[in-house]
Amino acid sequence: MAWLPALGLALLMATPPQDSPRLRTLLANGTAILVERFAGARVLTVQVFAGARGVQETPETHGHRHLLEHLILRGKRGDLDRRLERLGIFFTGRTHRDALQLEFIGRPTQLDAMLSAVQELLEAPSFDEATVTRELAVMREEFALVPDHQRLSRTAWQAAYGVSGLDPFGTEESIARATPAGLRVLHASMFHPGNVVVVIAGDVEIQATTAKVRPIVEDRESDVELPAMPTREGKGSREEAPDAFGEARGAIATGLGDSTAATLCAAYGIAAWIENAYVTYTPSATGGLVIVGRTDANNALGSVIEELTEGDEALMFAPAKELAKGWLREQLTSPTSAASLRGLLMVQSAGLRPETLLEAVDRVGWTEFRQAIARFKQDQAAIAVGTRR
Amino acid sequence: MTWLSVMFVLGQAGPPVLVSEVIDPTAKSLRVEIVAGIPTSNSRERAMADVLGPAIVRGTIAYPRANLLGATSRGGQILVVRAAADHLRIGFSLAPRDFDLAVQLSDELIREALLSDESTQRVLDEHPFRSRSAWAMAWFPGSGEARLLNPADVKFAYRRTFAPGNVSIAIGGNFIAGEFRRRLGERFEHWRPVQAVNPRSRFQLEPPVKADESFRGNGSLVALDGPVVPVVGAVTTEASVRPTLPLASLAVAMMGLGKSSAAYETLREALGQSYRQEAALVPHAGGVRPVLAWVSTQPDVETARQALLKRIEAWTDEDMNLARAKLSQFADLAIPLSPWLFNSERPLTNSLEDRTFIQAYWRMKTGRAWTTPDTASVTLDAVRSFATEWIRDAQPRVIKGR
Repeated sequence: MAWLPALGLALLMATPPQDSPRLRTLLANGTAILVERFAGARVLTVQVFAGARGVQETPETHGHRHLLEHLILRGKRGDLDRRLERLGIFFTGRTHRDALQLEFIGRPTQLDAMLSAVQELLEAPSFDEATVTRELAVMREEFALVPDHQRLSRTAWQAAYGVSGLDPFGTEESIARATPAGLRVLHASMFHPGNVVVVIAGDVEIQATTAKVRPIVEDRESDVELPAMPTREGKGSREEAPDAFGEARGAIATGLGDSTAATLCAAYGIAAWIENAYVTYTPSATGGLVIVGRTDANNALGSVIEELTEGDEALMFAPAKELAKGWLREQLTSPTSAASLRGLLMVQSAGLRPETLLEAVDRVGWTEFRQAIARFKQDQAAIAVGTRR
Repeated sequence: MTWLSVMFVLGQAGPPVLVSEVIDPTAKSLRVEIVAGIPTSNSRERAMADVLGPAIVRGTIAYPRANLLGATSRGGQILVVRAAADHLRIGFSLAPRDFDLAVQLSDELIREALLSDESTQRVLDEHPFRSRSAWAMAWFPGSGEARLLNPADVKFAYRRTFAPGNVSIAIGGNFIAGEFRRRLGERFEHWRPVQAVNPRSRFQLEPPVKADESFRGNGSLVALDGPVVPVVGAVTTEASVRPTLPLASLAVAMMGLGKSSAAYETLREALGQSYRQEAALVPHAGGVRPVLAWVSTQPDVETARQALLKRIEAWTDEDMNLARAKLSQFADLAIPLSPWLFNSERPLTNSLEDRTFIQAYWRMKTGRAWTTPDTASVTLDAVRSFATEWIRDAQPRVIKGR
């Protein structure tokens, strides 16, 4: 599913009264604002998403968005994250394949301080060579820390999607090629108005809060036209992950439709069936993976999946749906996780909502479930096998 | 969010089961946490703790494995089994309406685990191939050496561990206060220890061999273990010269929580030795223990130690107040800045799951309800002194990845 083109006018869409109070605003420049009210919540979160349209990972730019995330967290004076922490605001960032996510968490009274920081992040940065070099050294230490599940996931994506599945993490070699000038250009592309979504969730008045965000984002313009996000074409395949221990299997899942819902259920069913197995899923409108993995043992995942009988799958069916629904509902109960999921979906396509997936999970029937289990078997799955001993 | 913790003890003398209730009117599910005291002071006990939990959740008499899976998925979360230095934990979520099931499943898991030889042997067969991450090694040192362990040993350990007086259960959710206590009271009123035959197997009789202490990964883990903080004495003896829990909590927060901590400023920003560096309070048989850990491709422990000591010496009231604010944020806002670590993946949060767990654990550990340590009376001199002793005297554990 491609990103919907930005509308040429501001569009206000209030949710029906029986739903949780949310207000989504699509500005003329393409930036989207979502404010969700969680009555009584003591935590307030502001999250900024910068989509990957026009800045997808390539072998040449592999990990440059990740490096930029590191630098952005430091802000203009190099100490934004620490300044915010001293104010009692927790500030962190994550780089996904489809978006960069910056998250502020604090109290409702700290909205203005968070928005001031957002403004700072959106302005063109001025990195010098020394700052970039120092951050590269920190990232080299980060590379040493990559956990097995991430290494396996990287390999599974590679198996499924090849170059278009490159992880956002990068490599030492690829990030070393980044230059301050290149990073400034990257910042401009990533934070193109049409690539930006701001989500605020907490005990806030939604109209007033939206009005506070608008001046920060609505006057930003760009002459550059954003390209559509290309769809990834995935396939089942098997690759070895020489630097990882364990095993992971990914099933291709695009969008939030019935097939993805069934695949998510199947993943949870398998994870519950196999001790210490985990599920990794980051929703993607353009081609993603639902991954089931195990990193505490080699050779204890695939063989079990291959040997699942119809009887086993029947026993897994109801719990699998409950677990998938439980995960989705859990995401929507707290301001921080709800903002995270909603923002990640909105930045890919304005029409994507977690409720769509929740409804689809409810509809998953026995036949669809069995078909989804089959997506984790060796002829359909993207398989990553760790060979580290 | 308002929530009320209520503690009860079943029975008058020698309560068979400690019961805690965490009432949360906003809860969307029920959470049950079962904690049993377990010693893991050597690699053999560690191995037993590692296999006992997974063996138990292979099924009970009334709930064979698939039924147990079905029942414990009704709250939307996968059943959790974890072993740490002083306890074994089994946690699961249920739908809000499943109160009867919560009572029944608690009883089943505590007294009626099947532990068939076949299923237990499968758990044992997998144990030698288990891998632990660098962070698991940092917080929960010591690998299990399961050589010679057999299903009879596991059965014996189950009876010995899940015995009257050694089990604490907490339930969290929106229910009538006292109801869980009453129902469990009926169930466990006449619970008496079961005579278990000690197999006196070679596992028990032969001396343990040193287990593999490496982890799979790049770089090296460095861990500096602080002095053990005796939790009961700290709470009850104001005049004690031993370090107290509030003191240790504050020291951990100043040492390694967040980007204004000593570890972040020195190890990452000044020395560039690591990307991730954290301090935590972790369970220990004698109380809790502060640990500072980082992973580095080029560890230089002595340079790091001197830099940290210098930073500690320069701590000010502002640093201390900031750390206090962080501790309060963890409690209020679910920000992951808790000094408490009970698993290697994340610190304690204020989720229903974690609030329920900490009540069960703390009751087992101290006999008391959990309350966040009040650091108001901790002085800057005291926290400096404690942190200096911790970093200066720690014998570094440096474990190379492979």
